[in-house]
Amino acid sequence: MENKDNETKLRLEEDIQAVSFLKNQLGGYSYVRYSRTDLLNDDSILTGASVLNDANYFNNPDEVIRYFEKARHYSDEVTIASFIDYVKDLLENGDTDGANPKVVDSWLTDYEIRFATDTTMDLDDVLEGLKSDLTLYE
Amino acid sequence: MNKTQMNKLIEAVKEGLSDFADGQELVPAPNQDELRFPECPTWNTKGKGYYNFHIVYWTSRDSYANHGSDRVSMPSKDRWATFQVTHEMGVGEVTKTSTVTIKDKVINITTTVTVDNGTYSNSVGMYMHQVEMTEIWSKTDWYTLFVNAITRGV
Repeated sequence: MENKDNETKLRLEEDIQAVSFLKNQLGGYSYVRYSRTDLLNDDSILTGASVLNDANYFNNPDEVIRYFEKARHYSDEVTIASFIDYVKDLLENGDTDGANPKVVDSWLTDYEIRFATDTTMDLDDVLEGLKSDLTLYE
Repeated sequence: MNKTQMNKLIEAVKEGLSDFADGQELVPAPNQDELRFPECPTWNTKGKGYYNFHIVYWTSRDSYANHGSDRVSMPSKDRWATFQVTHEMGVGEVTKTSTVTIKDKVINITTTVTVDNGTYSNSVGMYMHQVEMTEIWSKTDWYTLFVNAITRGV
């Protein structure tokens, strides 16, 4: 039981490390957050399609067509996909500000999967929840 | 893919068009002899609609000992087809190109989606499907599955 608790504690600590890193990056991130108006512009629509494709957002060609039909409705998704793209670049360049790249990458993969259905995920809330869970093991 | 199998795929698209297209028809290219590969049968949709088809049954390939534009005929088992569906979008032309082969009654479909706005062409994904040419309730059961795969990609 103690071993299992230790494993859970370690996983929580790793998640906290990853989310803190992402939260800090998001705070200082100077990219343009995509708004509905941005996604009325052809260049932004095309860039948005590329980042969503890179983040494996589209499940089939029909979803790609639906995106092109109403790209302005995808501002949250394009914003998150762009951020994921940006963080992946940081990880590739080893620019992780002391955080373990593997831990961040693993959490990011999870985040990437979740963002398809939960684009409003708030990293502050996630961090608070993780810290609260960690107190149970201390 | 032999000629009979290709004809079945064409029949499937024609049936699909009669269901969802308003007055669109699939017809053989009128100027087949003047096409770049006249030996490869080609079909297009007549009239503009949501799904605009361009279909080619590839019966020849470049010669391996390629001298310029030498083409050689392929045996029917090696023949394949491309089903191209184009949508006119505000941002440009979005094209779904499905490469179709058939082996042991299984249709293998690989679809790439590209967007072309006149300035550049960019790939926005690749998807794969398989459809079994089996009869469950009627001989055309798989027609719908095949047409869904090359149009909506589901």
